[in-house]
Amino acid sequence: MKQSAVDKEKEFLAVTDKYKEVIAKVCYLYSSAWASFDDLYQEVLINLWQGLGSYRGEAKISTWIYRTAINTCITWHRRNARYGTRDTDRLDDMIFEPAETGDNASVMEDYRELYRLISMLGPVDKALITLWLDEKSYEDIQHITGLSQTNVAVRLHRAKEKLTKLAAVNR
Amino acid sequence: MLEADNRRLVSQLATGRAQTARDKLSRYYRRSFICAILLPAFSPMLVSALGFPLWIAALYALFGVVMGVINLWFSNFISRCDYTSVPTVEALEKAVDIARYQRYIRSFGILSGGALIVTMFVHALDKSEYHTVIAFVIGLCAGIVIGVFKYRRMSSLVKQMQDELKSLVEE
Repeated sequence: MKQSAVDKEKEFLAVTDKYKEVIAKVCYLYSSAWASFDDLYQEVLINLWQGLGSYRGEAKISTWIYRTAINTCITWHRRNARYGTRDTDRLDDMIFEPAETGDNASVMEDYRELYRLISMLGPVDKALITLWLDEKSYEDIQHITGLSQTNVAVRLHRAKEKLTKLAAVNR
Repeated sequence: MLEADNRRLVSQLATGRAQTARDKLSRYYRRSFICAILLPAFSPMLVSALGFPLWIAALYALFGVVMGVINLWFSNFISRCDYTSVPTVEALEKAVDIARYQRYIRSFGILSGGALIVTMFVHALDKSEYHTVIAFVIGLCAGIVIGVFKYRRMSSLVKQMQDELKSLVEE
């Protein structure tokens, strides 16, 4: 039975509302001077909207959301073929809690720094680290990226090494 | 804030006002198809107003038809290409295909269009139509500069994408 436009809107809003942090996080990491967060976020949402009709539930909805968000951002990056600095003002409000004091403020600052370092990685490494930080299993990462589990493990190990080096350089 | 963005976007999507980068690229080639297919309409003018022989006018019309068909095919190819909901590696393969075809189409257009322009240029030179010759020279130089710049950028992008894909698959 064909889904009505109202049903599709409701389903779309429910899905995007549930996974808004995931979408925002991916867009945040891939945003640059040539791809603002707003542009990427809108692009991901349009692709989700267009793909919602053909989503048949073969993969988990979170896998489909991650795939769409990561592929959209990587393709956008490829089209622009360069990276620059990010406009993070709006993002910080969405992903991180409002400014707090004491230990919480320090933890938030650490998160910001971690995200800043991750955004300096290559497009695929960035995706792998994001999925790993979200506690996705190697099997899930395999389904999202299409890489073998061995390959995922090897690349994740290297990405973590790169992050450690970046953190040392930026300290 | 994101919920409000989603709702605003849904209203744009429902009225067909929101476009993805893929839609824009597909429409660009659809517009190129329309421009190319209009070229044959001007070929009688080449004979009557500018005094070119019939065979040059026929080549000019053929160039328009061939470029039109190629652009229409590529526009449809891009529209059909779903690179968002597939695994990242597959998405990269599709992006490489699109970029490679773009490079082929551009090369074919520059070579065949260039040959046509040179033919027309030589004919105009034979007939000592210097105002036409000057216009051709300016057009040819501008075309070569833009063509070489675009070709080099596209070639380096395809090479970069292929290298990255190779490194992902080989590990």
